Amino acid sequence: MKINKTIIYKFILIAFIGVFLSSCASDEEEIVVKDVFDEVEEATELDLYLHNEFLVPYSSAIIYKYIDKYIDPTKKAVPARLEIVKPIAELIKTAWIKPYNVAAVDGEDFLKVYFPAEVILLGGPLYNGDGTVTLGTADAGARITFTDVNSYILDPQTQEEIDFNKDWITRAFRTLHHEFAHIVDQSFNFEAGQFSEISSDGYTSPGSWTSVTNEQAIASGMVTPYGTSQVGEDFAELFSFIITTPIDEFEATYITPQTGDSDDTIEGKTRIAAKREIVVDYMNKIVRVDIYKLRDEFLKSVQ
Amino acid sequence: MFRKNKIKNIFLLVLSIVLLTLSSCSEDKVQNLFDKDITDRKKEIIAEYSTALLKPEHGWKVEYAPNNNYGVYSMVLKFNADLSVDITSDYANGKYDYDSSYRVGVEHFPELVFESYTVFHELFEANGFLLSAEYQFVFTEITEEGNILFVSKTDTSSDHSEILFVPATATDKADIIAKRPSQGNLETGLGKGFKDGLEDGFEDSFYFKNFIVFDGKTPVYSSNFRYWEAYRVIEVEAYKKIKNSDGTISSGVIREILPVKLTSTGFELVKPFETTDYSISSFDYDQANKTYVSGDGGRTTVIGASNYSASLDITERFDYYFFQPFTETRYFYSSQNVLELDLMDRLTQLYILFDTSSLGRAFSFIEELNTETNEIEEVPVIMNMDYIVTEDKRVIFGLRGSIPSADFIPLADILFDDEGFYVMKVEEVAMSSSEIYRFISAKTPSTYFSTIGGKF
Repeated sequence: MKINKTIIYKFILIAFIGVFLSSCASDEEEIVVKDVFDEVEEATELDLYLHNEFLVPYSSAIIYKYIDKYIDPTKKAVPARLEIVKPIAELIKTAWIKPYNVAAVDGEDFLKVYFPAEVILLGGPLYNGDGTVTLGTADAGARITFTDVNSYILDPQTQEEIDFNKDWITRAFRTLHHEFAHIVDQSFNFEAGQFSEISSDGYTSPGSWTSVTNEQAIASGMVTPYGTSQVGEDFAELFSFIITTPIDEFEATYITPQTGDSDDTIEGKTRIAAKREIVVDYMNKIVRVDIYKLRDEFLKSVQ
Repeated sequence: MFRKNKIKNIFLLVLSIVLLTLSSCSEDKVQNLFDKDITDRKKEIIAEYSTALLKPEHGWKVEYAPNNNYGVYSMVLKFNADLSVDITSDYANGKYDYDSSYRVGVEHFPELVFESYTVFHELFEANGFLLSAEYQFVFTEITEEGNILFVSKTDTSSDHSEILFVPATATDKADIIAKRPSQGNLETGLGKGFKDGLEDGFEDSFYFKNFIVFDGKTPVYSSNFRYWEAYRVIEVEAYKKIKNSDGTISSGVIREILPVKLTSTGFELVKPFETTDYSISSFDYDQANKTYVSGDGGRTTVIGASNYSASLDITERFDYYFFQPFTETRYFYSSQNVLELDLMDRLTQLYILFDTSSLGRAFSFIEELNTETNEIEEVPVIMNMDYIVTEDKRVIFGLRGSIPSADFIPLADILFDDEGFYVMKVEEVAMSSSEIYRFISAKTPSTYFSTIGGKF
């Protein structure tokens, strides 16, 4: 009997397939992959709002419920109050999204690509365990942690409360724009060479920036002591201060020599001006965002 | 021939594989450890605990003690099917009982997480996390009585605190609300806790009070008293006899921190105040006298406002109070911050005299180096002062003049503070026949020094 070799191979193949298909059939389970969007139907009004305002247009999840996997286990944190989430989300829209939509050459399309996939809201700061706190973080170009949202006063009644909120917004969004600067940096790969050379002698050793005063930082060519910690933070601090500081204040504090300024301070201001030009140019040509327009829109939004 | 054998071998090989594979699916397979897979078991656990949380009509009553060293917070938690939870607590007048969402999930263990900020998170953050509070709990068991027992998910010590949820009654929530003060300065963190007592001046954690145990009409224990709402504990500190574990009796000045649980009529000590003769734990507020009173242990214990300030009965000339900061026979007890004042090591004695005919005076002696003899000498400093005794029995000194300058006296800044002192008779000296009085700063009661009191 002559048996064709091909038939033998087919037989072997079919036998194997048959065996595997039949094996352990009783353990078979229908695997249902649940679409995360299914949950929207069961969601609260707040969840629906966040879905419609952030997830749909920007593919971004605003995570306000406490999930410990988002927190470094060496740190402590608390979640946001429920009632504060929507007002904060509105602030994010008016003081972050809208200014970028106006200032970006690509308009709304810019943040549709670069808005972080996750924004974590925390009620307080991140407590580091060594007595210090972290006000914000940016991870892998995809996640920003927005802290201390519980401090924002809902429905302020007194001038003191109104002033507190203004200060809080400036501080909070300064942190937010700082963190977003890291995402811009991570996404567009900021060429730090020329930038870092301007103040190369002003960067401090690890951990020692906390002992630097504001005046010393400016004299080194940085807008804040934290900016002296490394080039990346220098870039992010300058980036956020350009956006969040009124132009007159920025010019007087960081650019224009004032009566009584020391030679070191004047030299530091010259450095800051030079670095600002690099940041503005980079934002215009590479990121395609007019940072001055962004600043004007941000300041208008928080008035 | 060779080719035929090869084909036959292949058939046999395939047949063997088929038979082996089929046999592996026979009824003789190894028994699974669980009858359901992990996903189903997780779902079942979550469903079981979720259902249990929703079951009690009036929610759960929780006597929450985040740490054995601190007090108890009463709460009623009503879990809802929409994953919201309504919280009613006796902490801070309910200020932090924000609406929250909750999650029943399974990570390493089945857990209950309060997902948005509420009173648990406030306690977690309070006092720099010192309370060891938590907002993530691990389900341990549903007891036969229908209670749910949790342990802390985040306690780092091996002694994880346990939290018991007990089905609430229809009145538990109202009882908690009844315990809250109707007023109080919540902005400064005061005005929390004891309802009526707070409104009568117990609201300040540092407010000076006495804790006195009477046997009949005779005081057998006298201490200053403080309530610390931040930790929900009371503090008493006085001379006391205690029975040691070996049965021997010892005595001394003992500072005790006792956790408190608020009740609708006053408070209870979680750990009783105990001596060799009695044990005291339950106090009720006496609105008429503005005191907390206990009849436990066959004694009457009264916590009230500075009753013993009446000890400062300046009716005769030359009542005096003698303070000697450093001595080998240590008969005084002064706060560490007083003993560590600048120049205190030079102060050897301080007399405070109340002269009702004229002014008060204070004499002190300080050590100075005599540059001629090169020896240390005691140099007197005389301070003339006036004084007033306020309605609440504080004595306030005013410096009228000093020879030489009062700057030499390390206590002067404290002595002439414009809020003055409470002066309390204390039992700090077991063997002394002299009366001992403690001068306690009204502004910062943790600042005090003790003196021998008497009359010329």
